[in-house]
Amino acid sequence: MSPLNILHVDDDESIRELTELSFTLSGGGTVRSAASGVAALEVLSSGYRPDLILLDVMMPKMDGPGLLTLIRALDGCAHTPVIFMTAQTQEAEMQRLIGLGAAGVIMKPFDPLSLSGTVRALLAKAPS
Amino acid sequence: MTDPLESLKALFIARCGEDLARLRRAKEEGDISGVGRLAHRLAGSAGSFGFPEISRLALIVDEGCRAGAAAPELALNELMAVLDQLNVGYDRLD
Repeated sequence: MSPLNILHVDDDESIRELTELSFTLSGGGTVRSAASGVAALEVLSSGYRPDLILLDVMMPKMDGPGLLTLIRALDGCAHTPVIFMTAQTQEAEMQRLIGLGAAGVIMKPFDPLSLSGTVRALLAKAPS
Repeated sequence: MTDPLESLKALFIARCGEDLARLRRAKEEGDISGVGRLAHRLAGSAGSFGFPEISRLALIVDEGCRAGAAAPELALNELMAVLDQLNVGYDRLD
């Protein structure tokens, strides 16, 4: 299994660092981080095309679902798999996020040692 | 050799001290959305660093702030007490 190139968008610095470390330790991928929706759009506008986008749901100014709409309009990003990460535990919220076209939803807090495997499992289940 | 996860955990604990100060300020100023934002962040992160109790309490505060006009007092006080304990322990180790 080849390592993934991942764009991770989260306003929480601790979670950005932990996610990056999780994938480094597991060898599951290389993570490029963005602290906001605007920062993520700048990264993508520079031409970077990740294999996967990990997207926090609740962020100030631009939330994850709002950012997803803008990402989908970018050249080459219409079908990039997106996995939402959220601390919201309600089933209805999970279904709403899946309904937006996400490949999956990861609940926060997550286990850093199994994050890479969880992501792989969600990608394997997602319709291509 | 230093465990990189332990290093990040120490950094997280140090940031909890800053979060506690922000929570106290937001509570004093009656800034419900500020309390909710901080609690939401802690709810989503603390458990990943080995502090599920902080995540549990923070989730109660987060959901309470979103549902009502006031932060749930009991859970907020408990959350601040746990953060304070963590902070004191960290200061002793430092």
